[in-house]
Amino acid sequence: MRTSRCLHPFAAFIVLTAVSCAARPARVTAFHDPNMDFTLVKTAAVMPFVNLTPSQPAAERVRDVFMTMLQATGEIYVLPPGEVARGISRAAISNSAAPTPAETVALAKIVGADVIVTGTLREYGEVRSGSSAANVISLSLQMMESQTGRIVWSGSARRGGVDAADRLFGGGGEAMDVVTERAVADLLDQLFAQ
Amino acid sequence: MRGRLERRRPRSRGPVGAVVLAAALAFAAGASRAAGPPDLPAEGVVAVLPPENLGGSPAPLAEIRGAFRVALEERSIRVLDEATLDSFLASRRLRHTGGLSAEAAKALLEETGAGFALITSVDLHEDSPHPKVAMTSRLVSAGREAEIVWMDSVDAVAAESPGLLGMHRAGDAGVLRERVIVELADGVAARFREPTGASGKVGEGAPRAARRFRPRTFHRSPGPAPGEGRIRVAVMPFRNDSGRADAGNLVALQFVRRLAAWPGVEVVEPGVVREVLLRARLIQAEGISLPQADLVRELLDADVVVAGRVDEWRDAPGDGLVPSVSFSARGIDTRTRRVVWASTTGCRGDRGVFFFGVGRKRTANALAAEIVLGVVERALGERRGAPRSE
Repeated sequence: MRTSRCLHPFAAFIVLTAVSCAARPARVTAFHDPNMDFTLVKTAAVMPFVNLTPSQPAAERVRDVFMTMLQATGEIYVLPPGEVARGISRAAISNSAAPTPAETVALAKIVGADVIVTGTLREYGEVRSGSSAANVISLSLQMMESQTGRIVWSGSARRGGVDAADRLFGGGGEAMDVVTERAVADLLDQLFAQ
Repeated sequence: MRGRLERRRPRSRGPVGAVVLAAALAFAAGASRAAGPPDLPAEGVVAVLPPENLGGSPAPLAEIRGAFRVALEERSIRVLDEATLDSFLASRRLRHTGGLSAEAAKALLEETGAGFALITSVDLHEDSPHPKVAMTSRLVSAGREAEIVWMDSVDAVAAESPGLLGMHRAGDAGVLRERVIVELADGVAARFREPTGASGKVGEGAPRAARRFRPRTFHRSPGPAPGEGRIRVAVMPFRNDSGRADAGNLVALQFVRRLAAWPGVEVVEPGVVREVLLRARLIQAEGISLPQADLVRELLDADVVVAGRVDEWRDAPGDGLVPSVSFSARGIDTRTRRVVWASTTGCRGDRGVFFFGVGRKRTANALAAEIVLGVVERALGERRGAPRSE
């Protein structure tokens, strides 16, 4: 009995240490239009993302990952980027990253999409905190339906960054492609969760 | 009524799936033998076209061309004399020698008697204290149709096999160049010796992509395979956002190489694709659109169009740096006008390497070749049921 009493504080210490060292959960915020029937969404067109980072090809890279992972869910067919570019040109959309509702409707009609997805890449690349450095990505997406052009889903995710373990033990965090996949997976979780 | 999106969960194949897969593999093993490239004549004259420099730095192209001629002649392959070929190229005003159009292929046979063209690209030529050389060659049949009958890519790095105390380390790019040319010429000779055997087709001893270089983000449509029996694939030039000149062409070439080596797949010669794109004035700045895919089907009779974008190609000059490649690729079924597979891949040459750099890829070209093999395996492997060998 005495032994078990001694183990309890030790176990509590282990649990507390594990919890404090665990990676921070992804910061997520999402909106779902309660009146939207998402089962009707079969085809999506993903617009070029707004790039607020200094890395020039980052937005296209993240868009590619998102398009592939969205299609890999098996529920939504994603139009090829060349077809989306043709639609943008035909619909004469001046700012393809942020189309107006009227432009959204016109584009969806041209390319035959049920929804249009737009996105903003806010952070991408390495961040530093003291002597530690790690990769980080911050991304927000919006989905607009093709009939009215209104937003039916919106979500954002942030992954990576310097955490307590990096500060204590050093290390450069995870590779950029891993961090990107995790952020996109978070966004897909938000999209498919009700 | 409010709907809810649900993801499809991958279903376990179970014993029935295993039997079906085994049957598919057995069928494909037979198909790979039946659907081999055309037989080559025992004595075909080869026209060695001037190499194309995709290396991003100067390379002795005339010297490389001469070395190829000598290497082929040493292997008892008849080579079209240089003056005749140059005169043919001048008369036809053929400046681009990185491919063979259908018209040029026909004229080559009729006017010079050469049955084949050896098309070579210098993918990397680093003449430094740590030299590196990479080349890709393909043998294309001349005559009625330009058809790829053999293709390979070889790279050599001085630091790869230095030997004891670095005694076998190649000091200059010339030695590496010679090694690469000899290996490629051996491949051509083997193709001539064994017309239906040494085609480099998967299942005939070709390696499988290392697990660490397989694509992390990949999708393949669950629908039926495009085309019936043999798939005809057209690989478009990839859009290049990498900053490295010709990176798009280099990745596209690796796709051509890997697809051409796959059983049941016929790849349209890139020179033919280029000619059609120019004639139809097809500009695909953001990738191929569906009307363009229709046009490619109409003009090239292609079942699948492969297109993509390269966003990173780092050659890693010197010895200590690690190459890095990142690209996305899509296959569009021209019949259904849908994307049948999509992949986004990016990795460094030292992914999964822990001890003494064993297994590290030292050139971006070798890394791209490995990644593309992984993509092609996932895109066609299980569907076509190609036999594999470790």
